[in-house]
Amino acid sequence: MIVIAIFFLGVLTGIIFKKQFKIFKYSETLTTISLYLLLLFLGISIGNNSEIVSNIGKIGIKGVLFAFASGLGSILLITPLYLIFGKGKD
Amino acid sequence: MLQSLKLLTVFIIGIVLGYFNLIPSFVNIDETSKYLLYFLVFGIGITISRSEGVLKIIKQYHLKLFLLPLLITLGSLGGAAVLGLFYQDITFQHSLGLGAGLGYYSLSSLMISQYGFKEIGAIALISNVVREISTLVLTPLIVKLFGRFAPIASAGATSMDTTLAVILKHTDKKNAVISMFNGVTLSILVPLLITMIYEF
Repeated sequence: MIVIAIFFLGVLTGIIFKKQFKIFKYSETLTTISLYLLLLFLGISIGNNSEIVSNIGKIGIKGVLFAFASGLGSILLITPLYLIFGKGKD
Repeated sequence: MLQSLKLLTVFIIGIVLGYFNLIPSFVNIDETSKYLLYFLVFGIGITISRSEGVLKIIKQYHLKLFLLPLLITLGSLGGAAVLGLFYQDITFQHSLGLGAGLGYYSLSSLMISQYGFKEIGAIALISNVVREISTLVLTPLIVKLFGRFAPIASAGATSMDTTLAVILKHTDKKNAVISMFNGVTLSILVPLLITMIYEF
């Protein structure tokens, strides 16, 4: 819940300070640095967990399978939209 | 190099460091991650606030534009839920969590890890990176089989940035607006969905 609140605080900040272009540069730097550190830390805590490490192959396969299941699910559900709106000119 | 691949590399470096116990002892990784996630989400919020053109798009194109991200979301959740039935060690909640990434690899995996589910977080990371990369590679085939909206569906949240060029190249210019709108909507939905799945 906190994450959602902070997310919308960010949106609000962006709207309030939209004329100050520097803020977007700062936020991009902030986002990039936190992203890299977070993934590094996620990697570290996974590598440090012997139970997860011994399953790493299975984790990879699950990742690939869930990618295709969710992607295919999305494609199948939007197919009616394509048949109704997508074929002709809009 | 694609940002997702760079991030994946950093993630793998982390695994190696963790495996050999090369962990800087002055950082409390879990505590620091919590605050870093707050910074990240704040920054993402600021970035999304810039896409105010979206409101104009909605006025111009009608509310039916929302049908696309809505069905894409339901399809992802449904597809993941069905696959989850075949895994005894993945609960329904986690299946939904894996579907709710919508191709947004960083956010969903980090939020899921933050709830304490590191292994599912790792699966989510891989799954969403694969979803992005396979869209980049398979778009010509996807368009041929399922039509011009389909690569937007498989791209998910990335249809507004990393996969946009490929989608437009293999479909048509009219798809640009739809694709951008879809990406923004899904990016906003990811944190909302993950919170709902794991907190309610």
